[in-house]
Amino acid sequence: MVDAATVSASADNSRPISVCRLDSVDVALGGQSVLRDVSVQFAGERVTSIVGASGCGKTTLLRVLAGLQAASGGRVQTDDNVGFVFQKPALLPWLTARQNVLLPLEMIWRHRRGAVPTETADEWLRMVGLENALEKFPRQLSGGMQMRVSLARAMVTRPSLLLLDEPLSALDEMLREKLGELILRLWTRRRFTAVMVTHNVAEAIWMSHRVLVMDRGRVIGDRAIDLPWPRSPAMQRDDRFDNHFRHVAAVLRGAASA
Amino acid sequence: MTNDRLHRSDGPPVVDPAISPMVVGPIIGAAGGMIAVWYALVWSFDLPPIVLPPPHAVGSAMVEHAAALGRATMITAAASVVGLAAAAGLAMMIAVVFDLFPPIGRALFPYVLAMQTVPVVAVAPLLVLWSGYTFRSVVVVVVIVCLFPIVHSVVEGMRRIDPDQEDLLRLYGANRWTMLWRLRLPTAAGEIVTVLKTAAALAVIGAIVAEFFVGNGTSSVGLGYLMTAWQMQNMTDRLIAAIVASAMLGLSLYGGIDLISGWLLRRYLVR
Repeated sequence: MVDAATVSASADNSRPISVCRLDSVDVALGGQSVLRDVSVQFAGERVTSIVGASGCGKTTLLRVLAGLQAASGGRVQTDDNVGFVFQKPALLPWLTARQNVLLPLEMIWRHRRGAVPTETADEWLRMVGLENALEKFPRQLSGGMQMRVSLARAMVTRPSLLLLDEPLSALDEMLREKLGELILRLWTRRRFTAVMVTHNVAEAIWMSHRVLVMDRGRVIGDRAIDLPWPRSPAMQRDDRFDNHFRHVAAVLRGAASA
Repeated sequence: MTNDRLHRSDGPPVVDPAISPMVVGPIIGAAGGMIAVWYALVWSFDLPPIVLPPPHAVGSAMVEHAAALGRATMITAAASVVGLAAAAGLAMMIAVVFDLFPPIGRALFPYVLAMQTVPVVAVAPLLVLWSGYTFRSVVVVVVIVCLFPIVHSVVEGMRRIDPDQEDLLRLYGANRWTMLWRLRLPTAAGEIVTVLKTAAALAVIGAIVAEFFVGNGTSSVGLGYLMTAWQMQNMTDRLIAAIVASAMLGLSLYGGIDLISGWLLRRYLVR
């Protein structure tokens, strides 16, 4: 859970680097094993993507890292300043874009004295290109704009760990690439540990330092992506990208046929 | 928050009932048609006024007894409004307790569902017997009639929260109270307005049924008592006039609740 003490308008450089570790973690939901003996570490200011078929436990792993899902077994070490971008924008429809972005700050500020730093919300909305939509309600925004508000909301507490659950899946191809680039721009400027769940192997490769492949609750592949930074969707034409793509796709195919 | 209020033009629009000739015309036409059918029935079957008086006789009775009808309508309206307000307040408190203390909710919610199936006509005599032949008894019956549907709808409305929104608030350490105030109650706003409108009609029904049993035991004679008295005297024109007055009261309460709750909760009603 996020603590007010971790939020500061200018503390980026002094912010501790996130180290999250799962040791032999099991999660059972409704009698079904969703995560089995998962051991993985997310360290430093890096972007990791997790790919795998539906129901393989990707989102559960993200929820364990966020503290939203308790592990049935094993040891979980996670960050206390987490941002979460859901698959849907999950904006509160009765709040404006600014109020939605302010919500996390209001939540963690409610036991503190002093005013919530509203300028932080405006700053993040400007950073995601929505400076003209501060007072707009979600219904007045397009799907892509709503996702950008949700990204600003996740970033407003300056998290050291950002979790993204298929943030691009509801968008069309053009918007996917734009939002993907925006996420990486934010990462380049603010540097945090990011873990992103996606169904799209190409997206996972061009956006990440590392790609994990999951199948039936286990991590079955771990690939370091050595493409140069800054990244862009155009890198999908690179030979090295092809190599990574073939490797990850082969692991996925192997899992599917097993 | 402050800025939002300053920028009223950007806020959610208050729902406009769109009263236009295209909407109102057919409604007036239908009323005219029903009055024509009423006249046709009376004349075709040569019905005596004691069975079915013609519409103009009912109109005359309304004018002639306007003072008595007006007084009775105000008394029934007072019982309905006081009972509805008490039921709404009590129901909100019960729904909040159910939400904050889930074991209590799980134990008692089935009874809330069951209580809605008990017919008011069966309960009213008992309640009147217990609380006396007074205005208060009428209010108690209204509260009982309205309470359970409101509790049911508010609880169901609060259950319709988006799981992602719930996760979001949990991520930032929301406790049950914060979750209720920030997410569950706003999510239920639509259901709250809808059930209050339905309860407005139920309140009038409950008040009139209670007045049947309270009789003139109180100095406050409502529409229910007038209906019973005029029915026993075979004054069908006055009885129908009282029915028209009760219908108008129900409609007015419904419209009033629609306007007031729609305005108060306008921010939460737009999705």
